[in-house]
Amino acid sequence: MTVLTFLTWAAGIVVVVFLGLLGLAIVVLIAKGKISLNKLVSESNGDASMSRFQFLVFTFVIALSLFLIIVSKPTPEFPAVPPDILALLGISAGSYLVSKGIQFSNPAGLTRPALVITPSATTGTAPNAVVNLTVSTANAQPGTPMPPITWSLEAPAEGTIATGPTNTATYTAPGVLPAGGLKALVRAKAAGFDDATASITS
Amino acid sequence: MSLSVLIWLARWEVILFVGGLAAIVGYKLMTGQINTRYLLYGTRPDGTRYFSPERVQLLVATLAVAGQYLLTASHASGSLPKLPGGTLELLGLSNSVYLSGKAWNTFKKSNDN
Repeated sequence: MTVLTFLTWAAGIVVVVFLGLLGLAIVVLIAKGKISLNKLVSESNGDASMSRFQFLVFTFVIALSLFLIIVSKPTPEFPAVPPDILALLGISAGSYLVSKGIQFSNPAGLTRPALVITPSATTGTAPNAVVNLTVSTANAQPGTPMPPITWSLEAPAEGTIATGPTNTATYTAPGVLPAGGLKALVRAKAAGFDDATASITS
Repeated sequence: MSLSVLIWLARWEVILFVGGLAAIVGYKLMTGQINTRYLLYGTRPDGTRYFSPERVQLLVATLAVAGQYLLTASHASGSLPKLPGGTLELLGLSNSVYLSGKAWNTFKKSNDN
């Protein structure tokens, strides 16, 4: 084995391992929700966007097609991209940009709906104390129904959170408070809405 | 280990990455974890929503072109297949209808006020 062959082989190993781990990390983090995609096709006002959806579909289709063509060759190489494929993506991207322009001239299309937790801050919490939390929406357009809410406790999760009916939850403080005092942060999430948080301290 | 093994590994990495990504995005779209609320609705300047037929036709045109191209690409080899004649015109027209409808509902109401 010559030095050049060894270097080619070693560089190939490094690239394959690095890209493999990077791809694996991205897919796993997306699957676990650590990389959030819930607003992938959303407008700034929280509604889903047809332009973004179209762009997403064409991006995946062209990427998958490109990949199918590359692996179908005995020796993988990047194929020539026909001009009409570039035009297809251009139409999609152009439509998206014009759509943004129209949307930004409409004030109602820019307001971001958000969740709000009441009470947003609770102090003087005793061991085993129970705090009832209610979530409401702000900046939502008329007729928007209350979305399904996901409640969670930010790390370090001190105490427990139990989901109640519709838009409520109950936080229960731990039986023994941490040495530095209780500092719990409750988060409410819903697709299409900005998250809300509430702090609970001792 | 020869380079052919590296090529084989890289091929499977891309299959798992692109396939995994597509599967996750598809699953999240179907289960509502990716927000698709009001995909087929427009918003007027006063904040009210309206059902938008121009979005429906754009959705149908997009899925039809995407599905047909993916099917063609799965049987092609050597280079990316060209789009059938008229596809770009169809898509351009569909996008124009969508943008015209969106602009009409945005600026018509603004001018009325």
